[in-house]
Amino acid sequence: MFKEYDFDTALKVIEKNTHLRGGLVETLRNLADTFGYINEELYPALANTFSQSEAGVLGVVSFYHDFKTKPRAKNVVKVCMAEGCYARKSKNMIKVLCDTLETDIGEKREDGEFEIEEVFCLGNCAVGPNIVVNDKLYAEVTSDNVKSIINKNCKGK
Amino acid sequence: MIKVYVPLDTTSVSLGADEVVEEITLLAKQNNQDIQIIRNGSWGLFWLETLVEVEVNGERIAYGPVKEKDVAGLFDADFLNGGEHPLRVGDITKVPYLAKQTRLCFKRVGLVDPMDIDDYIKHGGFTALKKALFASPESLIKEMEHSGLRGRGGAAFPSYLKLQATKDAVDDEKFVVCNFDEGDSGTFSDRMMGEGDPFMILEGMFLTALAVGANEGYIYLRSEYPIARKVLNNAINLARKTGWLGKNIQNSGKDFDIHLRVGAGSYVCGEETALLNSLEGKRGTVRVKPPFPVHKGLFGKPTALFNVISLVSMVPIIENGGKAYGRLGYDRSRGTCPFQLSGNIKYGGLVELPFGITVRDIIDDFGGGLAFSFDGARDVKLVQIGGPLGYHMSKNDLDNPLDYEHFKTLGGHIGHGGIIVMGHDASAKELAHFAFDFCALESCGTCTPCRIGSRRGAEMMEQIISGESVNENIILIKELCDTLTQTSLCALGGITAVPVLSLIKNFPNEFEDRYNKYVRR
Repeated sequence: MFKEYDFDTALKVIEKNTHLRGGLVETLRNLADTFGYINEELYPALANTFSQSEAGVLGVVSFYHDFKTKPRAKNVVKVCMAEGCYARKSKNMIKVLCDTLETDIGEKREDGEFEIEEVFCLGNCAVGPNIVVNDKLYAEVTSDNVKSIINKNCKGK
Repeated sequence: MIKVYVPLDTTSVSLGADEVVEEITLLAKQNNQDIQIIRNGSWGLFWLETLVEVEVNGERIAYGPVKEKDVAGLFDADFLNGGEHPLRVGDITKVPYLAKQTRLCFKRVGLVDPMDIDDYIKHGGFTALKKALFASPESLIKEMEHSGLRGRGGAAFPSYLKLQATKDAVDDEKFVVCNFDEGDSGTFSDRMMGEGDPFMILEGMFLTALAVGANEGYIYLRSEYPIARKVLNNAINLARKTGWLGKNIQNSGKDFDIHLRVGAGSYVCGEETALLNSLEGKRGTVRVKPPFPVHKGLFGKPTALFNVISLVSMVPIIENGGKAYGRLGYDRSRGTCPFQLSGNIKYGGLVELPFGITVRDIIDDFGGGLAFSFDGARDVKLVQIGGPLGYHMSKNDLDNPLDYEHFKTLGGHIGHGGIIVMGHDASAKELAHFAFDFCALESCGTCTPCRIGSRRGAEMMEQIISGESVNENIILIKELCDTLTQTSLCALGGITAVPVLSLIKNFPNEFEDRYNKYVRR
């Protein structure tokens, strides 16, 4: 899903956005889309490009939920915790999901295979509960079919 | 060549639209049938997704809900010529759910190909813009005043005042910003618009730019909408190529360009000043107002910042005149609002109607009752209006009309028009806890009441849920809500009290102190 992190590719991403006005968030966005996370090795380059201190860059990175600072698990499962899905009985499904993946909401499994990320609303509320498995959105997920969705989409177990 | 429409909408894709397309393509090839697949937006009748439409003799025949496994059967029934099949819906625009609506903003969503600018123009697109390119800013703002349009993002501020103030501000550059950070749970109208009719958003932004004298616009899109991102990117590129964006547009001497920026999963960035900070590449913290964005907005320049639906509402207003638009509606809420019906409901979807319809009418006439029962009970327990920080009404309040002023007197707001219906499995205590917890998670941290208060509120709710000092905690929570409302900088902290207080008011028996009651007896 994500590219293996390497410094040179990352620098190219940063360079591409140098001209952008107020482009730090957009650059971090591109880095997160490419590698899944922001490597702290990049803070000096980011600080330099966008005329900030390194602490300033860290401040921005830490503010947004989408910007992670650690490498992601092999399979990332996002689960909607908001009321639209709650009204459609997401609670039981989430319990089964956590049991199946043997990890908790917001946590990465120790072997690095799975990670469950909580999100609030995927804009698909009429047909919830919703989960996103490695960038593919699934609707009408129930405690009965969540296991097979995971098995179909994830390598490893 | 037979035209087959299959939506590219997020909801359709999540229900298997891509697989349906693959299967149709494959079977058409095997049967030697020449088809062209068009990925349109969704009509917003989500229980029928994936909705497949076939153009037969200039008319569109719909089939739904189609799953991958149904496609072979459709070919057997000769659906490419409109053949009979249990899934045949017929003309989608004659389905009562759609026929009963007043679609001004969403008139082209579902109908047109969102990836094709010519299709947009063919269906009346850019009519308003052509008119506006040679009109004076004053006359455009006058039309907005006549229309009575108010901000659809939630604050309901009169749009013409915002336009006037931005126009009157003097500076070397000005901006138009489109707030596409649709974070409220239970809302999806912006997404459907972005995926189904992106050019209308561009047209609305351009109209705003003409009214205020701006040459540059930004769309701030939330990161949870990857399909909208793709469609909008394509729309902007197409508009640039065909001379609807860029320099000297359609030989009018006017310049305007739009940039798309994607957010990073922060709910508070839907607040206008936080959004501006995020666009500037900073932490998405809330700014102290004044100065207002109309005077010092993006990069410190005068900025007209509108929600997606406010912007697209301007298109029919300029096209048909503000007075025609203003004739629709109720009391001081003029025009139409795309309400979004979801949750535990049979027929969830997008319902665009003039203001003033009651909650009950929407749930009964459109929603068709609850989808799931709980312990045999199949009646509405509570309805959340206006997102996670919206008003939670019990079934006794359902006769309230959807109108800005009316909800204000109730102690709530319509917000972005999201309506989530819940059955008896929903717990008022859990929802109140969720409201505080959500505020704590999404607080930008600028002001103390929101940053600290939300955490203390969540802790007290946890105690109430476990039955600890219930009455004392409720008194404290009410005081805390008062502090949050009075002293928070922005709406996030300011309206966190709305769900909590409405839940305590409307579901008192769930907040009863069971233990003490038992002791007294």
